[in-house]
Amino acid sequence: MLGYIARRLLLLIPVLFAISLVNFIILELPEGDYLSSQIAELEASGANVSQQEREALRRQYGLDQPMIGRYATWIGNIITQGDFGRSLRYDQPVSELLAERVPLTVGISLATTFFVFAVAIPIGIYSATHKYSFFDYAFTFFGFIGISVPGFLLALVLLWLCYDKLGWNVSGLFSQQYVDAPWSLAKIFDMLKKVWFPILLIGLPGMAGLIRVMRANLLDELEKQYVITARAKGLQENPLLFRYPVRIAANPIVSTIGWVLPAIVGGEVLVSIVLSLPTTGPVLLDAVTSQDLYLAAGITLMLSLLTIIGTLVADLLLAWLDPRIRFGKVEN
Amino acid sequence: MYEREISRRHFLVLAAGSIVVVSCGGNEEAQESGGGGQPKGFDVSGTPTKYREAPMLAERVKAGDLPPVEERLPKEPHVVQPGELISTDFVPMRPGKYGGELRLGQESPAGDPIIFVALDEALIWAPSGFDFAKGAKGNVVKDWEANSDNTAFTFTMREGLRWSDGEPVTMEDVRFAFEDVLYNEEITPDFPTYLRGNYNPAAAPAKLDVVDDWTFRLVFDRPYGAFPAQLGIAEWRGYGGIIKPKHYLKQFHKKYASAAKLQNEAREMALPEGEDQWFNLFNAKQLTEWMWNATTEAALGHPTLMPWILKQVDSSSFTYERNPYYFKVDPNGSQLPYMDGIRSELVQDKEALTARTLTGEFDYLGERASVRQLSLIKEKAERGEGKLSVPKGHTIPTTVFLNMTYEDDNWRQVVRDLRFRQALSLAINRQEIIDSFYLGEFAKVPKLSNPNEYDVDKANQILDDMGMDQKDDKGFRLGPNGERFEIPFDIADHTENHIPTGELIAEYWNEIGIFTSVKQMDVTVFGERLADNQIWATLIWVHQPVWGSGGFPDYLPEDGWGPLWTEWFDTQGESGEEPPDGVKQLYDYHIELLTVDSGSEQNEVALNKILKSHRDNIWIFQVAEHPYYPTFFSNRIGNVPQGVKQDTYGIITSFSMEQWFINE
Repeated sequence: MLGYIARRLLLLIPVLFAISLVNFIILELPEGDYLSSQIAELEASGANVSQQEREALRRQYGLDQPMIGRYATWIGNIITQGDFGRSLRYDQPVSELLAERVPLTVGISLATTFFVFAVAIPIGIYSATHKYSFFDYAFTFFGFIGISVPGFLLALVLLWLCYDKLGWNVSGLFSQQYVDAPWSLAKIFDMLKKVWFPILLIGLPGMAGLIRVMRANLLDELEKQYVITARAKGLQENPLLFRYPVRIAANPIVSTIGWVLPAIVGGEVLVSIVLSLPTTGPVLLDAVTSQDLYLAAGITLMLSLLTIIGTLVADLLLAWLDPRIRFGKVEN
Repeated sequence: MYEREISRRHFLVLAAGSIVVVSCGGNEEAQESGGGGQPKGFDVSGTPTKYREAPMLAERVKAGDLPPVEERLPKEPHVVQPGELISTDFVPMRPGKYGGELRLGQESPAGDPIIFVALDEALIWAPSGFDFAKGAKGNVVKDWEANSDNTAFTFTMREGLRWSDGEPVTMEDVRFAFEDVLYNEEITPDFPTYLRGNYNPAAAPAKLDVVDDWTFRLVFDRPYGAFPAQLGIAEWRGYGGIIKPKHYLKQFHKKYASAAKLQNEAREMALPEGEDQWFNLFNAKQLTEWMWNATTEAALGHPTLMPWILKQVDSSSFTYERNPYYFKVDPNGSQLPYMDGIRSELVQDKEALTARTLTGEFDYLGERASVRQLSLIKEKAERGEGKLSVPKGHTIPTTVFLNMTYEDDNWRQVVRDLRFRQALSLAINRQEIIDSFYLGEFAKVPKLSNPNEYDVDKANQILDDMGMDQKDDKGFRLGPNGERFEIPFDIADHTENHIPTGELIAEYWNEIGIFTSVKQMDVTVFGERLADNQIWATLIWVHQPVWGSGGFPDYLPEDGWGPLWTEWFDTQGESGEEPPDGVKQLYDYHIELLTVDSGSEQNEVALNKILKSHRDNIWIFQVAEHPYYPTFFSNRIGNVPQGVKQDTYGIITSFSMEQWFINE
């Protein structure tokens, strides 16, 4: 087991390298750079940027070096100094922006993941044991709404409805007095008042699939011989349910953390843009469209790290839950 | 969906169009206080002698933190008359209440177009920004005067005017701006064209003549009648090119600061180091005549003459506070602005921003909406949840360009033929476009800048007559080289209307046998290709409503329809391609427009020549003129316009923000 963990951790490093390189290349692919998008914006607002001004700005921003050189410098700086470079758009070191926003992103993503599993599994169990009941259909229905309507659209519609009909302002994460305040218990309480909304929106799409899978798995298990035997032997329904079938049915679910977590991190980007959450989402979109290279690369690096570690934890969790995986191929 | 780029374009267009249109319309002079049952207006019969200030400033004066208001204002502050910032037809300016914070949303962390305009202060100002026929008054400067042939302009500064940090504004600040910044070739490698005679790249730069401690003169080598418009409204210019805070900026200048210190600062800001790169730091810190950076972090600590100063920037909002040394007062002597501050929240999704403004969370929608959202906004206004205003736009949002200098002989032979363009113009059903995108009412078919005839048969006839009668087996016409002639549109989604309009136009042209296709392109990539002369055809916009100001010369060949001709003009013939005579004439009219007095009759004459050249030659295809767009205010804002199809430019509303007040 320890060997397995060690091996997986070591694999993390080359994977991260590869991701960061591919990231960098993709961000560099579009024609032009931060400067051209800035100039396009300026000219749309009325400024006239002459050729000489463009050259001067290019020099000023250091955009006249080849890509590989810039990648090497950037990665080098991260490893040796923790210096992620500077965001041209925000005019701040990238590490500052990351420190402001990544913890909240991680927090919300993890909270959403817990929420999704914590809700989907019981609902799946209920659906399986009360097959074809009213609630079974109701849960399925809502699950499918979540999966078919894009998260950001749902967010926008609900945002409007809540303010218009109920007077609730569900955007943002903090009320005005806490936005710039340092962290405190009061601030956390304030956040809890609003954070349920994004968690709900981000998590909803993932839930439908999980509910159905859980339901299907459990139904399969409940048909099996040992369950019938246990019932025949007089075991109560509920302890029976939770001691064996649920554990077995839950196994595939745990392995799905591997793809649910990236989906949540990705979905978080879109929903947080609509709801103006102080997470990496809005910043990422802005950085990518304005080709603010170091900021975009830095954020995607952080999010990739989050996802890789998340899937690693999921794999370890699964290995712990299911001894069959731990021992790999069993020699006879 | 909402028009993303209106805010940016509207600025430019408003400026250019206002001069002509406003001088045609009627603007009232300052009115006496309103009669019968209306809340009292101002008594504008005399100049105020006693001044009042905002309670929040009065407190600081009592605490000894600020000098009293008489000492903070210049000896002769600028008294804002009703009708000066925005016509009293639309805003009968009332005395406002002090206090409150304006709540806005902005899309980009790198500045905001609405706040930029609200903060902007020009050297001089004409009524409603564009009405130069009524005469421009001093704004930041007290007074100005042109000599008889418009080659020398004398400006009298306001004695006692102070920067936002309390330091006095002196002639040193003007000298610094010219001698140490504008004439310094490292900081300013490209001397700004608006300070050359006649806005002509070939003219000599303006010469600064200091007459006395409070008077200076700018001298040009040729008549420059449009200079007041260039100073007052063109391209939303502010005072920043001509008056700079020397006491603050000299710490970034090689002449006054040590090289070592400059290098340290450059290093901290991740700018290129090296002694010969010192100007990068200066440029990163200074505000030029394009005072956009007043809405970005670069402005923190930079003293200004603006109504509000940027006080704080954090991860999700920008906070502005009133400038205690602002030089304007209302006719009662109350120092402006009325509102204590502005808080702008970063909301990167435009839909969310609009939604939150319409529900009353933010106070002003700016130029983010288009006619498509009009019914929604009107509904909100009718329910009493806010105020609706539908002002004019200052750009023609969708103008069609065929690049006549694209390097392909077959293409050039066809598109440079006026008959071809006539046929294409005849094939465009402009009324249908207006019905589709402007609800039929909120724009008009072009009268000034384009023909508006719609006759498909005539179009076909013209194409047949000019030799494009050969068609391929699908019915598309062949060009002179014997192959199917194609017009490939590359359109960036500058607004939500661009791609749909392009597709409609493509349909019209396909109908007369010209194969036209539409491809969407990312706006940044598009910008690069456009500048590189690699676009065949596209849709962008022009500032036709405000062409008369001489500040928005997009009647000249632009990157859209003649980049190589523009290059020829800009480099005075050294590179690019020589334009045909018809285009050269445009340049002549352009020079004429800039030589005569802004707002004068000759200004009208020159403008009409330009418009006629466009009508006759169809250099570009205009689909509509006189567009309107809706905007929305929350109920708590006073001194703002309300009404539908108002004959004022929406951007002037944003300019007038120092007279808005919060009614709570």
